[in-house]
Amino acid sequence: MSPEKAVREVSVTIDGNTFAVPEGTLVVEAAKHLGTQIPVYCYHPKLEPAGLCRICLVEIEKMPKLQIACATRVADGMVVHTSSAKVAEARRGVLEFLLLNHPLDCPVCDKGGECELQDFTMSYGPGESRLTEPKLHKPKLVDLGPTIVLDEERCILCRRCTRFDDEIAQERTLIVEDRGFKSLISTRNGGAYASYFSGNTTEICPVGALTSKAYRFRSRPWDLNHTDSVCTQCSVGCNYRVDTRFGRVMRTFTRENPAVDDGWICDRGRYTFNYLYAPERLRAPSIKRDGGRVDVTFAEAAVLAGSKLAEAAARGRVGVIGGGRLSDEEAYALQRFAREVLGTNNIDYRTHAQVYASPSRFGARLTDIDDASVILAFGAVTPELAPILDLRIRRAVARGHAKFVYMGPYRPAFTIETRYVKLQRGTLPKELDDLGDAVRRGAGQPGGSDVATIASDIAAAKKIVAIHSGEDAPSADAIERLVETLQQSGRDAGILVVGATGNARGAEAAGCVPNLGPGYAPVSGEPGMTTDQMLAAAADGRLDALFVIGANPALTFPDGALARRALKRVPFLAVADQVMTETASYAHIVFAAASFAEKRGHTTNLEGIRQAFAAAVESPLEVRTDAQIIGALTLATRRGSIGDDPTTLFAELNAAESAPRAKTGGGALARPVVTGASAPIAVPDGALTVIPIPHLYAGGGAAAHDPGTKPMRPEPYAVFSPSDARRLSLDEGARVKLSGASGSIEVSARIAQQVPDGSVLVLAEMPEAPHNLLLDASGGGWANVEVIAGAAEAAG
Amino acid sequence: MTPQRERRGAELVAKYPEARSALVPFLQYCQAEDGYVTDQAIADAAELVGITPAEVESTASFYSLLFRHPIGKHVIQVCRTLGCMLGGADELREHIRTRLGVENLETTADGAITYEEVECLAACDRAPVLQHNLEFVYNVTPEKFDSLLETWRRESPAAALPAE
Repeated sequence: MSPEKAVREVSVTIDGNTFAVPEGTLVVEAAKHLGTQIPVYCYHPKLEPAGLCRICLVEIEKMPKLQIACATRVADGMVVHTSSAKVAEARRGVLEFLLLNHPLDCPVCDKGGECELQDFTMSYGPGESRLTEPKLHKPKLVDLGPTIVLDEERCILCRRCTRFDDEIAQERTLIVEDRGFKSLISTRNGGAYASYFSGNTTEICPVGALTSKAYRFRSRPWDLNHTDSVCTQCSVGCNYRVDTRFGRVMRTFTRENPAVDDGWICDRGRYTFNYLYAPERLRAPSIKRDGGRVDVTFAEAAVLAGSKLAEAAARGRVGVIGGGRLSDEEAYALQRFAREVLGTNNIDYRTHAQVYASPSRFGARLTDIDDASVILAFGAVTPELAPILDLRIRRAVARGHAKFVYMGPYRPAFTIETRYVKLQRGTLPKELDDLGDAVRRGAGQPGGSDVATIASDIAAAKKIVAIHSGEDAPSADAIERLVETLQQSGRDAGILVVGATGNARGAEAAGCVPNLGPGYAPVSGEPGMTTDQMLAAAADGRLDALFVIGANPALTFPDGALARRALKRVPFLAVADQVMTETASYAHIVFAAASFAEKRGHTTNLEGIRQAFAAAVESPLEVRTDAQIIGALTLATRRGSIGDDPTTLFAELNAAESAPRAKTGGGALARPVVTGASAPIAVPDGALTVIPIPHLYAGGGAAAHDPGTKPMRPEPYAVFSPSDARRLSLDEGARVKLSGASGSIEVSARIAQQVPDGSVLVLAEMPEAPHNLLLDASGGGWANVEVIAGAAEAAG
Repeated sequence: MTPQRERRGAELVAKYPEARSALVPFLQYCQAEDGYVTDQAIADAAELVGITPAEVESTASFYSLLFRHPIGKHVIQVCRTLGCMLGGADELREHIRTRLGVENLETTADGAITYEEVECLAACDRAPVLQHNLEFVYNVTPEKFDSLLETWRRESPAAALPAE
């Protein structure tokens, strides 16, 4: 059905009220227009009707038997009764069946208090069971994977979880095994249900069968306080609720925003809050003293750091790195701190390979993916970097109207049908310009090449969404040229840039870049240094102080050796973070920063939606929000005053952004300056080209220390092509040493077909084996491989 | 997948408008070849019809005539539903279990005979009934079972369950 087709309305009468609904509406949905609740278990608005549980039986006139409201669509003139005596009797009967073997262990069940089986039994069920025989017993403690424990006895076999895994995640690992009363929710041969989306099944489970290991037996629903928040783990910005008890975060829970998350969150987002209570969490500032590190009060740390930064500022030899993990307000305060207080434009939020976060023109929305005909992804491994965005791609492709094209140096494991184009380093701009030419020339391409194939996909396309990793400026320009060509050809086209940090776009918009102030306004005077320039300057002894806030360049900056050299050499380094990161370990002064749950503010997601989050809990005594740290440092420098109240900062940010300024041409946003571009690198004979690969659970800092996500965290590994593995005589599981131009790491070896010969994929951002020790500042690098231990030896 | 299995798979897939429809026939074919549905057969079936191995497992576990563990050359399925129960199936089943030395869904120590208790076989008028390799046997008494057992023991069918 084409979306343009007008939707016909039909008239329906429910419980005596006659009204119009679009043709094809399900009776259960139509009843919602009246505020009438029809009880459901298997039905879920995001899933296809299944008609399994029968609790939604309603009486429809002229139909001889009761009908299920969840799978019956309204017809014109249909008359429905949802609370007749017949319906009540049927509901009682269904509930009696559902409760037949249910253990009724509500007093110890996590779901008790928010359980639909409890609620509907109270509303519609029989008060007592007539069953005198013993109940059927099933396994009560099934370890379903790293995140979920399943109680088969509580399960009512509504199959929401397996249908979620099938229809939404499309991974199809969760199944119903056996049949009839013996049916069990299961995985194949007891394998792990290790989906990135597994936590959602605990929410949609209408009973207490699927429970999350992180929350199991931790609280009762009625004891929880709810705070609306936004996940800051990636740049999608899914909305969620932080549930707390006794001032402690107990769990997070989806808070549907159709424009952003469509009601789902990924497990990284859901479970990354336990680090707040981990021993590695920083609870007080500390200073390097007498060869060790001692805790100090916040005031002492601020006074000391402020004076050191002021001294360096007076000599014009200071830099500020960070912003991508702060709130919008804090990012704004940070650039004010750099510019007004330290008197420098040396500020940059970019601590990863990402060089920009905001498309300067043609920004797309997340919802554009839903009706796109072609989705082009460039180096953005969305399943790992932005899982909830990836769900949209999966859905669009599964519905059959979207084609998915991925261009990158290797083929990531996408769950969907992918047209893959292998890119050599630095060749994307040319590929895209060729593609643009092909689009301009129109249909009837000489076939065969990748460009011709994609051009013919595009020829039939109405809407195209380009998804970029934000790495490499020439590629960014080429993507914009292509999108412009597509728009000129009468197509709808736009760009999404997946941020390396949660608030990359917010930091960019707030002015945490050397050449742009708030609202992308070009700075007065000379642009400052970029991150790589600051690190190079610090490594050469040309900077006297660095302030790194909410960033971990030692692990994330492409040239890890340079970052470490710089952090070690700089005469004064102050770092603000939540845990002792690799970067913080070099710092003379470390501030303990508040987490997302302990402060309020806004965060901007990858498409530019600015969303508010509220403080759910209080932070430990000597912990401060980044805004408070910036404010106190300002006072200590005696060079001005920056308030730390989010409301005031937000108003200032808004005013600064809406200030009139010279347009940069075509309504485009100015782009942050970059240095260097990814040209081909020279790889020595026998060495392999290093390609970093992202992983949802990789990362230093909070990600490395969160007990909630630790079970899912991979060991550092590198993936070789089968032929390279043979040449190097290494087996799957062997321990290997990778040595690059300026460092080496030890990892375990994996072998996969998708790796191009002559390359090695290295898991990125693992503190135990930092991939960036093998790379240069442009993100390129090579490694010689040495087998340390064979697979059997390494396993032993 | 063996070339032979691949060929047979392709033939089966060609029979239906959707590849997925060939799943159960293919599993039956594999079962006839291997004696039961092996893990390899699950993987082969997933590859053949383009679904995940987990989905194949779900389907295979649904059908009582697909076995996921090795079975004997003789499969004896005895009804345990009401009609046969009234006709003396309880005593019959007790007798068979003792005689074979197995419980429900077990195979005799020599690997020859698999015993299974099943729901109604739709022959209540001649209860109690059992199926031997899917052949009905009616009005079974313990004595009748013993003499049939002697006969079955002498036979050696190629497979307990047919390929199609």
